[in-house]
Amino acid sequence: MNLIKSFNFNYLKENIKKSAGLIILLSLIVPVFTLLVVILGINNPERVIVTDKSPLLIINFIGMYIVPVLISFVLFGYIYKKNSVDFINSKPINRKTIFITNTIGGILLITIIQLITAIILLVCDLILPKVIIFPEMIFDIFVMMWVSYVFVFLATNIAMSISGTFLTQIVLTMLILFLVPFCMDSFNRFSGYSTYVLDTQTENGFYNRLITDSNYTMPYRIIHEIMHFYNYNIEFDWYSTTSILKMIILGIIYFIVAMKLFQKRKMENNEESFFNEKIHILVKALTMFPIFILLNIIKADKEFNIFILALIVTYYFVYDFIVKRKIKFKKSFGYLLLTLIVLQGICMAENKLINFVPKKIITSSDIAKINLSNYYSTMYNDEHELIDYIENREIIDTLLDAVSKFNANTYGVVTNNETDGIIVDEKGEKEDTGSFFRVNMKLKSGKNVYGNLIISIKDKQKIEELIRQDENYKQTLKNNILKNNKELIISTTNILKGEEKKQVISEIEQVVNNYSFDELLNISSTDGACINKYYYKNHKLNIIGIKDNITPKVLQIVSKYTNEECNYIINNREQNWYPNFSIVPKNTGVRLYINNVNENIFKFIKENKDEKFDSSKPYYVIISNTMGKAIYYYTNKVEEIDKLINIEMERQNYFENNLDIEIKQ
Amino acid sequence: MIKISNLSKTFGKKKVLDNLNCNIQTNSIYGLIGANGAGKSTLLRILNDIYKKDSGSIEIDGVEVEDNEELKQNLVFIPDDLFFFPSYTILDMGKFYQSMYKNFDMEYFKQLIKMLKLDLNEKIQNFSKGMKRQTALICAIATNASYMFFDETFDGLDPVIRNIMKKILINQMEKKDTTIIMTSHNLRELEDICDNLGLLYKGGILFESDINSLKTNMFKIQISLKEDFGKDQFSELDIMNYKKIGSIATIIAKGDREKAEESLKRMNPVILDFLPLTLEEVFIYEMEVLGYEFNQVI
Repeated sequence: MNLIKSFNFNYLKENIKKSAGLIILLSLIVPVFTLLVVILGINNPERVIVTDKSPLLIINFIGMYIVPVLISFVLFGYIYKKNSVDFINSKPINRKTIFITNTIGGILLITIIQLITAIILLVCDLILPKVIIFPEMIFDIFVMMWVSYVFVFLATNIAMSISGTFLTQIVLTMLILFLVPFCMDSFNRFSGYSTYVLDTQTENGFYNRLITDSNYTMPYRIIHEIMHFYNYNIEFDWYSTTSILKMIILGIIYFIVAMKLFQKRKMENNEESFFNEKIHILVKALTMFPIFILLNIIKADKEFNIFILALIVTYYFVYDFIVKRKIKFKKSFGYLLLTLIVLQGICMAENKLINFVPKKIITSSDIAKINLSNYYSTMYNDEHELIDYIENREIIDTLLDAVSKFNANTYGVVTNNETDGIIVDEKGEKEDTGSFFRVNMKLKSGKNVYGNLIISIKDKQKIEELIRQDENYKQTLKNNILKNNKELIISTTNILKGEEKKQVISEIEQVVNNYSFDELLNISSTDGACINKYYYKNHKLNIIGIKDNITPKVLQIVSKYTNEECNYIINNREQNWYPNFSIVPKNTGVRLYINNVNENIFKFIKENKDEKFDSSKPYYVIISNTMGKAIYYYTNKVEEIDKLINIEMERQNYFENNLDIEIKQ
Repeated sequence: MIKISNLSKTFGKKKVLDNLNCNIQTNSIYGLIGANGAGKSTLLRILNDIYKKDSGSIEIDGVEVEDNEELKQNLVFIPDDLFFFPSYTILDMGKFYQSMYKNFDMEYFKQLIKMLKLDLNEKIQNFSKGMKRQTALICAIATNASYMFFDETFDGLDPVIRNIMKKILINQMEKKDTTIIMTSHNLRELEDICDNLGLLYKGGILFESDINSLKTNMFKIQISLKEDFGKDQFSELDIMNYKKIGSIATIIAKGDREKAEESLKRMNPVILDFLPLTLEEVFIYEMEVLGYEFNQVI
């Protein structure tokens, strides 16, 4: 209620009116550029694009570092300027009202920016025929970016309340946003320290280290992800509830701190870095922490050397010059020495400091559920992971046992590919084969941890067998196939709608209910001419593929669209279309790549464009990978295709034999 | 009434106001003079709650100024450095003041603008310095605030507009019981409009008085007697300054003019003239009495 009392609409109106042009520009820049990204980058008339968050967030992310900062400058900046400080501060509006009004005004502007962006995305979803943007995802983007923008805005307001020049306000904003997470992140990076380890310690002290979710505030999260991208290799989802909550809590604190500072601000401090020289020195010293860390990263060295020292000393004096603050050399030099001593002290104490950070050993009882990913198994989806988390205690315990057993019995692991390794004994002789797993655990504390674990192939098979027997997981598999029918897309080309959509859903329902575990696994594939079900759940875009031949009726519907598309391409792109065909005989699942029959296949499709495909009869699928997508053509003219295959086989044999002769010669 | 008690303010290590005490009566025009850097603008800024005081108290109509939105409805301040929102017209500015001040009189504002032959719809950024000053003063006057504070009030105004402005201010004061506090480093500028004058020097009020009594209590006499004479012969007068060139003495004296005239006439002077003193002269002699040189303080 107090906030509403302290809000002065007339003041806000005038404040916005005075910079109307700039405010309109700031309000439209993110929505307009996001629209351009959607239209130019995403709207491909030849395929259905189901957008994930990332392409829609690019402009918003860039804007996050610019727009809220500029909004703060527009609303607050003139209050501190030498020629306008008297004007506004003499008016019958107290400082609390000015601050609250401007803050609410800024938040309203950010709301407008994000609302316009959300509306534009919704309209794109409705208007662009080949673009699907889930409204739930738009809502997530709205919440995530709104909180992030407001957070940056509130942090800038603190800097505005303390500092008197544009440059130092920027410096201070960056310190507020980045200093603590950057130092913590770098500290972990330097030390290679992992707070979370799996309870699998062996006699030689080997732990399985785990990586935690980066729940930093959004402005730092992006920097963190860029810094750690190659280390983690984990698909990153921008939406993080913890991060949002953190920003809300910090935002409230920033708001209160900024208001108190604003109320107490000495208005005579305008156009100078800080009223108090000591604060200027402190801020400058704080800016040296990230610079020092960055220099250390470049040099990979924790100690001072002449190069780093020279850079830091130069920076120390250039900083004063840039922000136009004059400090007596003698005094400045003294502070420089003090800062260097502190920095060096922290570096020297780093190893000791690590010991103060408690290590969290994760036992089976800490784990709520797990997800596994492995490249070489039919158990996993196209992203090589289980389609959902498993809560089965037996599986969790077996996994931990397998990891411990592996750690205890292994002398060395020689990897020969991404997932499997050969375990050697003391003499270096092969003992067993190991398999790499990426495990993603949700702890009971709510934390997410990830790690790479190795277990023996036997244990891997045992775990997979346990998963097969897990009724809950089977039900999850079934639910995934049966539910979430919001968007059904044939291959990547057509969105199923109306009666056909209903028919496909009903067909799938009829057969899937009686499927065994292996049948369920077998029909789930996003590869080939399948029906892809897209849905947005748990703040994530998910895809489930269902094979085209699940029932003849489904195949009939799929073939109608894919054959139409194939005919269209052949008739319209003849001149510059050189596809490589592969032919999949019915139910074999094995593709025959017959590159040199292009012309014959080409002719065949052209000549049979009026063929009425019947899914209940024997058929062939001709697959062409062209223009970055797969095109499917279904035909019942099995004999004709057999002939073409035979011709091709003969040609291939001929070339192979001749090639042999040539090589022999 | 404005009551300032033991007001102090420092900027870094520099003490700008040092235990300043001052009372300004309601419905008067109070002129604050002082050299550059004497603290005039700082005092006005503290009075208007722009700067925070270090110590002391300021009460306007018995109420503390700090963070008092209600009281600030009755205060208006026009600083030396004028500021207008970029691309605003006079009318826009008037509307801004109207949105800020409950008692803003838009009709009167338009009337004054018309009287000064300014264009309501012209952008202020195209104005000359004098026109900007006129606009700022009109905006302030139209607020009908009880207390008006003007820093270097007539800076940039030509003599004609300066007189018109003075008349408008006096009219405002008479009609609305307004109290006006204005600063200048030029005494002549304040002489014909102020009721009271305060001289600010080194952070404190060095000298304060109402102009009428200043002018009537001090007078300049030119006198010549038949015989030779010296300063001793005028012991009945409260002499502040005495100079004799040839047979004519020029005396600056304080006190009751009629009594002085009577006493001098008894001496049968050959020449006796009572001459008017400019405010500047009054200040010069007052400063001399206090042991300061006028040029140092203004």
